[in-house]
Amino acid sequence: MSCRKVVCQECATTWDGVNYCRPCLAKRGALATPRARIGAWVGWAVMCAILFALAGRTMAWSAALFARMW
Amino acid sequence: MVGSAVREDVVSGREGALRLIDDGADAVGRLAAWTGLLWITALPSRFLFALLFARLVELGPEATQYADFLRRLAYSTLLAWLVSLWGRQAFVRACRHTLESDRPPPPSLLRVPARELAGYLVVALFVEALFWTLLLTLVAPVALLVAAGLAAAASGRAGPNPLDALRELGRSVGPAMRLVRLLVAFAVALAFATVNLHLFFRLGLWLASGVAGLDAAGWNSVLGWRNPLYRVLIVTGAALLLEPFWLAALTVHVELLRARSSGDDLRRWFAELRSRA
Repeated sequence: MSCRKVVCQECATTWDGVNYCRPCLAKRGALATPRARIGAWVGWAVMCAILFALAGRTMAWSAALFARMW
Repeated sequence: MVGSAVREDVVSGREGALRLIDDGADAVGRLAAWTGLLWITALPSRFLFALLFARLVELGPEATQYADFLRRLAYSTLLAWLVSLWGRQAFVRACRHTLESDRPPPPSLLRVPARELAGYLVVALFVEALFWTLLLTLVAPVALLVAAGLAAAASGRAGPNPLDALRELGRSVGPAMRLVRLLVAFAVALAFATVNLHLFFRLGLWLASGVAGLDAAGWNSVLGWRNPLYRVLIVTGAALLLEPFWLAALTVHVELLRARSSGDDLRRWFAELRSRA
């Protein structure tokens, strides 16, 4: 237990091999949540950049090919 | 239960494409300002797309030799299109509000939450990239046109996670035949709108031909069907006219699916029955 308190097995939650009581888990969650959110936004930005580049290239390529066949 | 047929529609199986069009047209009729916003935000990208298409027609088989020029034009079109996505999302929010309430949508709906816009943006880009990649298959792009509209109506709620947003899009498909019928109805409407728009311009030209000093012969060739730019602009204009109805119909489709899956349709129906009792 990170806060050194004695908590019964039912009240403790194991996370990454460490037992946490409810308040400690809440503190840990508060720290972890913004990181996850930032991670999601970074992933979103990267994905959008890739898709934007891909969409632009495929638009030019397909349209040119279409015009050639037409 | 006599005379309650319209209310019973909420829980009945009669949820065909025509109902989507009816409800969508009813919503658009109450969203004049929001329709204007949708058109204004969409216009730059539509003009750039028309320009790209007209250049392609002019270049013909030599188009592949102008790759840099076409790529620049494609990216410009895409950048303008990104702005139109905000307009689409704001319109869909207003449309959703109109479906749920008799009050006019508040201006605060213009402030689209970042999470909502992000979810829509990533799915819209995915569909767009897929559309252009599969353009030559001719069938897949038609299905992706529907997906692009559904993305506006459904993907926003999922947030920035691309997989969640795509999952939300998948959940919003529902009965495929209803969407196919809707697509056919709008294809016919597009043809009618194109012909009407063309006749409108021809009528305008005919009326203006009586004005002294107007080069009617010159305008006749500009506003003629043989001019590729005019052709593209007319079809683009017709698509723009139908876009609010298309988005509204798809929003109705998504909201019907949500109401059915959450049991909200039954709750509403029961509340209406109790209020009448």
